[in-house]
Amino acid sequence: MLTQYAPATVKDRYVREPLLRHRIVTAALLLAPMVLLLVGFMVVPVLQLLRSSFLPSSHLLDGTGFSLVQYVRFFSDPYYSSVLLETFVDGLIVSLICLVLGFPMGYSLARLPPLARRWRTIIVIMPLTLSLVVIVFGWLIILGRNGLLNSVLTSLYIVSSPKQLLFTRPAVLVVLVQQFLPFMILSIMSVVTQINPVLEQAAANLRANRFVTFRKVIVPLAVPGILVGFNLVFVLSISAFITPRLIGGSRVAMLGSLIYERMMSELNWPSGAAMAFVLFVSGLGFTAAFNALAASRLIVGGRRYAL
Amino acid sequence: MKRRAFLKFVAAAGTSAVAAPYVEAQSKKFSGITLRVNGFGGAWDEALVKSVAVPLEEKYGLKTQFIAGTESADFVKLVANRNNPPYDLFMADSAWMVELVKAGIIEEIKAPDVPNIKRILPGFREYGDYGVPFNVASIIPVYNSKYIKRPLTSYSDIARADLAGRAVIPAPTLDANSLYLLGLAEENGGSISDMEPAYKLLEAAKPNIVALAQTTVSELQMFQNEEAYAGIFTDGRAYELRSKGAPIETVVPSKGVYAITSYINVVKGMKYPEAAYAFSEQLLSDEGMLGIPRAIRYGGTTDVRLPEDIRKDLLFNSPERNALKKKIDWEKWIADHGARIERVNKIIRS
Amino acid sequence: MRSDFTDSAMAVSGAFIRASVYAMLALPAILVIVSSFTSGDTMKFPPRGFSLRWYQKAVENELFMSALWTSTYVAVLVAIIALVTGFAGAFAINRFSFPGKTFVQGLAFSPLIVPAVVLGIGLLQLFAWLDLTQTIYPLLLGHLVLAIPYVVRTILASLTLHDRVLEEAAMNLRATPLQVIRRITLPLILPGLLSAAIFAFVTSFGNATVSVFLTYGGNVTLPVQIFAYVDTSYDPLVAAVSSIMIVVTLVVIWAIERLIGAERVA
Repeated sequence: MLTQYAPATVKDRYVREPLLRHRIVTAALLLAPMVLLLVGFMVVPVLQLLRSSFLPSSHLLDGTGFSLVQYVRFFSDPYYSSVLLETFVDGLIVSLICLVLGFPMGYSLARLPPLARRWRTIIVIMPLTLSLVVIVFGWLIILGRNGLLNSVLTSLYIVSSPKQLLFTRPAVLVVLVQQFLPFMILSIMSVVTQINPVLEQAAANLRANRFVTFRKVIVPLAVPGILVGFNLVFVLSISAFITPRLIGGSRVAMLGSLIYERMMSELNWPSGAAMAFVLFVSGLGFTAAFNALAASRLIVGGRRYAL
Repeated sequence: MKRRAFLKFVAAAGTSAVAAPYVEAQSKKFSGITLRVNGFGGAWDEALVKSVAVPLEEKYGLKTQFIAGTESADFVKLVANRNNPPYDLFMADSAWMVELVKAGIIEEIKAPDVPNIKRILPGFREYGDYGVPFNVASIIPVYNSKYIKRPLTSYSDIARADLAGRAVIPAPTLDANSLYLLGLAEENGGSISDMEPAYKLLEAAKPNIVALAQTTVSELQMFQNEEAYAGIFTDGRAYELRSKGAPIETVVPSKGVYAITSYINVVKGMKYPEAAYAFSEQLLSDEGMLGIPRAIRYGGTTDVRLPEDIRKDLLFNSPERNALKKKIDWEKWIADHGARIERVNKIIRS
Repeated sequence: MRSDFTDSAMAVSGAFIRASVYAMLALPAILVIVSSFTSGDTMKFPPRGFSLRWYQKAVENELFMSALWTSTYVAVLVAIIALVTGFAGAFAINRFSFPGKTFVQGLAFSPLIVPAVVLGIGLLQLFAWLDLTQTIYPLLLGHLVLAIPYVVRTILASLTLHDRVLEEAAMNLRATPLQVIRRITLPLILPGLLSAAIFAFVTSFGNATVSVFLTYGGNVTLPVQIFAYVDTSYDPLVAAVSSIMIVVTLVVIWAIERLIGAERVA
């Protein structure tokens, strides 16, 4: 029977041929519910709003016609390009920090015995369930001028007087990291649980130290999880809008909050839709480019190391 | 309150089930009708339930449902569902009234239908026959007297050097709360069509400003946690802070006070105009008018006689004070908001 | 020895990172929970006194309680439906080759990057046109769209990793495709399914920014209720409600683990 494991023998191909003919139908059937859902309740409504980004008016969906005025307004004013750039830089910083912090977390979680893993996972998931406005309250206590962090810092004589921590860019980044880190940890955890620990032992037996094992065995195998986590955190960060508004006290500009303000405070849907579309396209383009790069570098390299 | 109402309801249901099932229900004018109102949430809605909804249910069997949401999302929902409005009555402040009137989704309310309209103070009904004003909030300078020894006296004092890194102002996206910008302009020779003086002053005040508050509650937190010692706030909220022990003083700027009015509107296409009029009438009655001032010290809009304990804490509490209320060209204020928000963002975020 | 040094350096720094990350993740929530037990009228830290009065208020508040119910059952439904559709989709993407695969993958990912306001307003208009705004469907479908990317991505990562040899072996032993999926694939990717289900539940349960456009009178979700409440009020009631929300989430996670059978995997 062992020979049957070998792929693509003549007999094998013969046996599976009728199956292959049905494959495309099966795939279509499997995909149908998801694709219909997404097309019907995301693509259609978003396209409708995308259409409105080409309206010349600046109020709800008033007016008709086709114009690029909303896009011209965005690209002709350096303010918006700089906000877009800052948003991307912020997104990258947040995803990198999440990766650095999330990898050891996800890895150690995956290697823990089930009981210990369970309650730690709960700590990781808990922040996701809390309403953001409530989380912000917790952060006000921590980062406030009379808050916990300041009192720790002053009692350790690291700073002489309480510092303004809230309403700054670092504060926004810290809160974004806390908000989105669970996504990174869980993505990596679910992947690492499937890496056979035997591989690590084998590496250890070959006298690889932990760092070498980590770099040459674990990381390459965990690449899918890393990419998922990185992409998730990145796109979530660049479209965040509540955190920059509440923790940044409006002093920190991120495109998400500008879009929200334009659509909900000014009711200028055409302009807001145009900005959202710019964010969407550039965000998707960025992650696609990043994934392509990562795939060519990491996975190819990874295969070489791992196999 | 709610528990009591609930128990009352249970008791009433129990007795009516035993005794005469339908007599009670039929004797009331609006029994079986529920009015859906967009809620502002929290203490505001609770005050309205106590002073308007509960009396209406007792008197007419009319029920009211306050539905939580944000003002802007509620407005968008209303616009999207013209044929099947999700609300019967719509609460909105002066700024949103412009949009409501423009969108043509509210009905006029005339004095013969709601007799108490005659009691509204002059200058407090800004949109002709649209909307019934029932509450007014002032946007004024405030300061923490524990840290700021020299009182503020005007909107422009927000740029005073001794407030460095200690002032908070409402975000320009809040059309109503950002009226102080108009105050900054008018105190410095500008006007609603010439806002440059306000921006110049804001530029000067920039080192003072630690944050722009997105909601009144986040601003409340900043004052309470002493992140900010001074700023522009609403009178009712400053009172709330004082009542909880924070020494926040309110300032009545001598050149005029900018205030924002809350209206109740009858939504076009709603099924029970008579019930809506009854709601408005109760809102403008003595009992209804004092509900919110009693709970959160925002002022009333009618000639209601204010009990002394409430009167002393309100900003508009005498004819002289009422005269300070500035008339605002809301339509112009809203028409310009895109440019204004962009300008303030650029000043503050650069 | 070099390797010893590297090993212990990594162990120490790993332990340090883990400790501080757990602290950072949990602290805001813990502070909220602790302040919900205050006997005072304001949300302050440290809280004044100890009492359960805000919990009593929360439980008596029918607005919050009915919103909690709405949120919970919508989120449970969303988790189930998203898991099924998402698994089917991810399985097709991973195991079949078909034209337009990258496009489908991008499609499944894109709800994440559509700003909440855009999706919210778009859906609102669509449902108004369908005359469905005053039903539960907007919430359900909107949340499903939001949950799909998490589910698909998580399951996809698991499918990519796990060894296909077992499936092929089973196929060669004349197992039907359904048997293969049920007996081999699903058990192998259980951890991924578990995280996917939890992601879907939590996404729906915690969302306020899109929900705000999709709720109607009879169906306000808890985050929307909280969002509106803190717009005007600032008292420990919200902290108490949030703590109740955490408890509900934990119960649901526990139930999901039970249902999927996480013990067996671990």
